[in-house]
Amino acid sequence: MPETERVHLSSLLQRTPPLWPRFRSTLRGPAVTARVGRVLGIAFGLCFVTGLLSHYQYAPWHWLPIPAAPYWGYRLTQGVHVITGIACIPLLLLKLWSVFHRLFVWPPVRGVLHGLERLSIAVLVASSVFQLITGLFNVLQFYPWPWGFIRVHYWMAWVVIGSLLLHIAVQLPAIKQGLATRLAPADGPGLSRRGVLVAGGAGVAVVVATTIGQVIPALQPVALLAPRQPRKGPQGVPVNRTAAAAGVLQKARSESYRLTVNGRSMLSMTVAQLEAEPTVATSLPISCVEGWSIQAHWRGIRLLDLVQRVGGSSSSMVSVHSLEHGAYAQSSLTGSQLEHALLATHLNGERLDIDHGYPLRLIAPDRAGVLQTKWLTRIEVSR
Amino acid sequence: MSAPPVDRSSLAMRLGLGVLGVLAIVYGGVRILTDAKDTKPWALARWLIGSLLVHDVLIAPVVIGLGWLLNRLVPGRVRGYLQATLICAGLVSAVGLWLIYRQGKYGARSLALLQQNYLANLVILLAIIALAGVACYTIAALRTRRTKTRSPADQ
Repeated sequence: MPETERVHLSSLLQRTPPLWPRFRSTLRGPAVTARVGRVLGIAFGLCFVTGLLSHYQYAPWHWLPIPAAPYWGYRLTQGVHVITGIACIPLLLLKLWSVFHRLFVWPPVRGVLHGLERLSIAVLVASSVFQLITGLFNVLQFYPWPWGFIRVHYWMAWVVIGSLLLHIAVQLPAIKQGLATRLAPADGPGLSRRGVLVAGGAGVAVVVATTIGQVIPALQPVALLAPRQPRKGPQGVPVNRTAAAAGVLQKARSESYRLTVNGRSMLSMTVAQLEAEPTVATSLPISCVEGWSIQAHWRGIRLLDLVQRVGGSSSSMVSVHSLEHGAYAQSSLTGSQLEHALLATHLNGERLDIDHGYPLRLIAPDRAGVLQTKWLTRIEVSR
Repeated sequence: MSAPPVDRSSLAMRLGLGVLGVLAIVYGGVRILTDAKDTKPWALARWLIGSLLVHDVLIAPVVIGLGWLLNRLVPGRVRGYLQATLICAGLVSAVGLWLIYRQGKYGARSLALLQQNYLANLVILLAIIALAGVACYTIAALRTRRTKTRSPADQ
């Protein structure tokens, strides 16, 4: 290439083309970005850690079973997971608005490293928007995609948190400088940078205040944007999957219903025999993976009593099986959860409603709602 | 003039964070690809690119265009309060609209899900935000007027 053409090309790359977008607003800048980014980063971190804890509920290692204490553990972590996830939607929009002008830097790519950095930001933005929106869709039980939500949400969380860590690594000096920069007052009579943060913060606060009622029932009256109202449902507790939807209406009420317990020996019990068993009462939350939760009063047979009757102990691995078929037709427990688990026959002072798992359902502390298996018909005791 | 000292501990931390970040991205990405039967990587890639485009081509230009219009059409202090109200209302709507969409598309199939009238609820919230914006503006305007009327006596 002749020397003159090379000079011409490099000067073209230095000069912004005439029609290239230009942003004159003084509202955007590192001081706003760093402050919003700090809150968003903390929220993403909380969401990631609580998400890992929730994922662990599905497949704990044998040597580290889910503990029974604190009994409200999953209620807290999953409530935090879903509420911070929802709060991240407005926070992310605010953060992206504050840096949108940087999408149009000229030249678009200054070199290999700059190109890689821009690519990593594309990954961060795409995966974050995707993760938050599909997470919200899951809370709304809305799945307009062909993949399995749980796996994709889990693996994508690693991509999101990884690209966030990489972004922080690259931008750390700018973040420090942005946080150290005072929020400049408005140039004219319009909104100031502080005003943007106050208005944005108010928006996020309204979103949190109007959704957190699905975790804290006392705030249900103001939970205008909560997908769930935790006091609505039979016996004052919501239902995710009804007996009709699970296809167990007939079987659960059938006279031929039996609960069988298989260990070294075997037990088979009718509903009348189960109802004659000694029971204990407890107060435990139902905490759904979709974020809502409510404390309820339960009465039922101690699972460990039946396990011991067939030769097992609290160190046995116990799996409970439902009359229904499908992904949540069974769950397993051992250790301290097993010691505290009940086969619930009563909820909030009444015989268990069919939609809550009549004639028997599992209820154990610090356990995801989908693993509190309903319509129990078989218990397997191993080890 | 000597070069500014290099903060080695900060550099090491950044390097560590960066390496951790890349490892996490690779871990998640590889597991998505090896679990292709369940994760459907091609459909997923389309959704990821779509997520990027929805923000960069649709949401951001509309928001920035609206800001540009406000700057030209709305005078003085009113603009600041209107901008603040719209930011707050927009962020609340970014969550509320999804509930309305879902409710309208599928209705309440489940016993516990989406049992409120979310359109009415969002309208109520937006009305409260608008009232708060008007109240803030009125208080600020009254304060300014009081300061102006007092200032000759103070001199």
